[in-house]
Amino acid sequence: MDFPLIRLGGLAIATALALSLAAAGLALASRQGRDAARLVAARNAVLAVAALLSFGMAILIHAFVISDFSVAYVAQNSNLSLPVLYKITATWGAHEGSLLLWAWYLGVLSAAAVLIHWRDHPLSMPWIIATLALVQAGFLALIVFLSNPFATLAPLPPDGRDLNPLLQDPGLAFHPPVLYLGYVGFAVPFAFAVAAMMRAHVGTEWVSAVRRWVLFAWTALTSGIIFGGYWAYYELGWGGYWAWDPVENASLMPWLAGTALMHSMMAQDRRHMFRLWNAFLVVATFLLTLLGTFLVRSGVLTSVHAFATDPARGGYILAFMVVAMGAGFGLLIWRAESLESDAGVESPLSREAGLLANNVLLMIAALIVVIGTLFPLAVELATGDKISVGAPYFNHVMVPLMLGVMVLMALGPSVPWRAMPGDRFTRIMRLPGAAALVALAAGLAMGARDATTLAAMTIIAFAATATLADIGRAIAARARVGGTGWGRAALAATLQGRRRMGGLIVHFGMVLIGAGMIGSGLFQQAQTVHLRPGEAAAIHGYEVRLDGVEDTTGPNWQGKLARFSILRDGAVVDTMLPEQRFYELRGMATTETAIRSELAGDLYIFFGDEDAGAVVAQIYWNPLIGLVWLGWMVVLAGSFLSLTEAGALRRRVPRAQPSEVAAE
Amino acid sequence: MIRALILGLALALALPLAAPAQTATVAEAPDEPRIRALAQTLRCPVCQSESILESRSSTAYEMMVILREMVAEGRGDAEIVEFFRSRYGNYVMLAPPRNGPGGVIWLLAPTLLAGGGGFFLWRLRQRGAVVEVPAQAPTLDAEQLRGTGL
Amino acid sequence: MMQDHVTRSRRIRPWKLALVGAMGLTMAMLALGLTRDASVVPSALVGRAMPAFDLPLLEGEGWLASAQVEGRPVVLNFWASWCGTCREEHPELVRLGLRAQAKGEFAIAGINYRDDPERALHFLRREGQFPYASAMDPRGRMGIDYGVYGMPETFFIDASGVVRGRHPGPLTPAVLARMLPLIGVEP
Repeated sequence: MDFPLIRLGGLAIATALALSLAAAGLALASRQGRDAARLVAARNAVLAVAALLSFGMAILIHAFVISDFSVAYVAQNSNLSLPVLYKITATWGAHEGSLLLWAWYLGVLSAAAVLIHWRDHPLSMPWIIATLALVQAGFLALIVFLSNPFATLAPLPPDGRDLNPLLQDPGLAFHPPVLYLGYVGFAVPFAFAVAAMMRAHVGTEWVSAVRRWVLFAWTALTSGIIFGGYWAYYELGWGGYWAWDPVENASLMPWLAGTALMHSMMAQDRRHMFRLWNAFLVVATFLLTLLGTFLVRSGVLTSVHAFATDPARGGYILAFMVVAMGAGFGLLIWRAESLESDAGVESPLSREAGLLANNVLLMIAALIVVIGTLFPLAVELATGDKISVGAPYFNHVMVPLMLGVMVLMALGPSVPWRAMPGDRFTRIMRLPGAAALVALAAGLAMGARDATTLAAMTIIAFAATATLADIGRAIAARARVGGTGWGRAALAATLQGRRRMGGLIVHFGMVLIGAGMIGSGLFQQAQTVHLRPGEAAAIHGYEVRLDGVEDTTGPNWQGKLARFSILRDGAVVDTMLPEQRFYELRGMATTETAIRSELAGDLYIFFGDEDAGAVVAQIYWNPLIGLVWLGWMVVLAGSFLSLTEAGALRRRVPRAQPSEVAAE
Repeated sequence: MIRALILGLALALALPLAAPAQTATVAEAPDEPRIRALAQTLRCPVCQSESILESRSSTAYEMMVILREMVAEGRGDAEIVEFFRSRYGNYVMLAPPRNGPGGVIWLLAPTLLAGGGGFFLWRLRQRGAVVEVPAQAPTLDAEQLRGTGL
Repeated sequence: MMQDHVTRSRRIRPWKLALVGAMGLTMAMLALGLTRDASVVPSALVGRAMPAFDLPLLEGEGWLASAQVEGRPVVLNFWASWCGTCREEHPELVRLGLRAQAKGEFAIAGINYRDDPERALHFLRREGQFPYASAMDPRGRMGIDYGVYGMPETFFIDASGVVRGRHPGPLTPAVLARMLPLIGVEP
């Protein structure tokens, strides 16, 4: 009964592969769209691919839900005793299924892009369809020939080998799906860039069209990364959320490039600048998403998150990447002369100069992550010695760099396009400057002497105040012009200046995230103590008392649970129950941390081995970490506000004289 | 997770009644911050990108035991790191030593910053060619208007 | 004029060369990377004196100490009952042990790494006894001294007590043919 269904799944993805190739062929054969029938056929093929992949995805999820162990992929990654939620999320818990999720996203986003821009971009459409369909075919060929999730097993196993215990967490339901949406989202801007370069028509239209796709992909990627950090924070349990693991770095690379892109696109949109640079960034961001895929799935680098690796897959993805790179950068080199922009930066005190500095810093950061991640491989190939480039290196180098980006983030929106009188700039910066000095004094009073700590506190205060002041000025200008009250003005400023207000809100969210990272990173308190029942450790004004250790079991694991009472001034205020679990089927142990969140920070407990009647308890006080998650929500709110901006493009020509409200 | 929360809540309500009056507070050993700082720079050799502080593997656990012993014996940081490096190689150090084969990585950020700074100044000085953005900037329909003559 | 224009457009911009060069180099590096096993880490011990050890025997009373093998080439095999690939190399080790017993030109010893003695003995009963002694390293201390990453690993030490080679993973005749000459033993 289930067997034919699975066969249909395999058939669906094979047909999708053939249709993707057909779509690309038809689009290319449409004589730049003059042969309308072929172009329509190509479009319909793209839509059919999306439908087929949705069907395939549904069949695979169904196979997991009904525990159809005749499917090899299901047998390897599921189990009868697995809770239903994890059965569903196990669909993308390993290599094959996660690739199918990727292809499905690409199918749906391609269909959406083709439908949305069908009228707007008729001349680019053949190239957009061809690019997206070829990328899709590249992924589908990998799935069909080298990683087929629908492959079946000959003797039906009685039970599955279970999902990797580290993935048996609600986090798996959000992190990969959102992260992949971000990765895949950058394929659409890539297709537009290819089209613009093929047509040697490199004005501003493609950038305007692509802006929201970039913002969408960036928002998803940001959410995926932060969600991954949150997952690591409570599941992997060492009090941190970012380990600078190669796979984590793989997601940071396109994020940094995509952040640079989102900003430099503004300059092209508004000032016709950075055209060559934007084309480069679009191609580079897309290639970095492929590099990430390669690093995660090829086994070239060792990583905690790496999928089961296979050199054939690695070789295929590498070849795919080389083809994409040849096409993308080849086009860029070929069309460079027609892309070079004529406009220069007029003044160092202008939005253009700020965006340029922003791009320089973000690209340096991206290069450091790329080179730092690949560096051990280079050293190994050159000297045969194996080295590590890990958290201590990246923290040392990246923290100052990102603080620099934050300074620019504070300055940039306050400065208008083209130029600004120096005295006005000084006036605007007076309030944030004062806040920065107060923060510096507070840091010194708190006893901080480390240069990075003090710089971080100063810059966070500066950026927060500058961003809020920008928001305030926008509202004040509305209130003045409209003669209305503040509430109305705030609403008007928000709804009518969605792009600018959205951007400022995202900036404020990033300041919050930065504050949370700095707070938890530099002011973390920790206690490693051997506790016997009845004994307590003191941390941040709390007493953490071990009451006892007991056995506990779950559907597919056994474990130990430590009961901690949290006391403040002698009274119990909470109970925390960290666990250690052992998953028999995979022979793996996991640590479940207990977290008590409050506004000022998190109390974070896990325990290690028992040692002569005592447990080794790791107790952390992570101050301000909640700001990271809060900041993420603010970023989301700002992104959505910006995304909802009315589609029609209002084109205002920037005035030569600086206006009172910094024109976006 | 939810079950644990409910259980925790129930216990939080029930426990104050049962709580013993006296609690012995155990202080962390004074060396622990130093041990943590050191452990963060050492890679767990059998895991992947984890330090021995973060790893739950038994090898990392035993390395932590050795680290504590060496600290208790009064060994210096350099000596302790060298102990592990002489056994597991440079791989065990999460940040490559400046004098080792990967030391050049420390020059990466200064080099890129100098290059990026130079590029920024060079672009700023290319100020001559200021071009007015045409007042009638092309709209989206331009694609269609430009027709099929491409 | 025309000439001028042509020469100018033919000149290749330096950034294009840099881009092509950097990308080519990166891709070549990744391709080379695919040909190696990322999980293999070279041993820091090769070329250095073997770390001393003194551990209780797995079977029977007594100790196995590094001093006992001084002056002879040594093959030191780390194994465990929980390691699957140890089963693969088992016959090879038995063969090597019998040969060492017969000819006596080198010493061979096993180190039972992070194991439960009961399970280790059960493993030997099932797979066949080694014709040489194994010592116990229950907490893996000796493993740390030797920089052991995974099971199994085999060290080759020459007559002067210097580690000449380490092989991670199961032993095969090909591996032995490469490693044994390093410590002056005919393969």
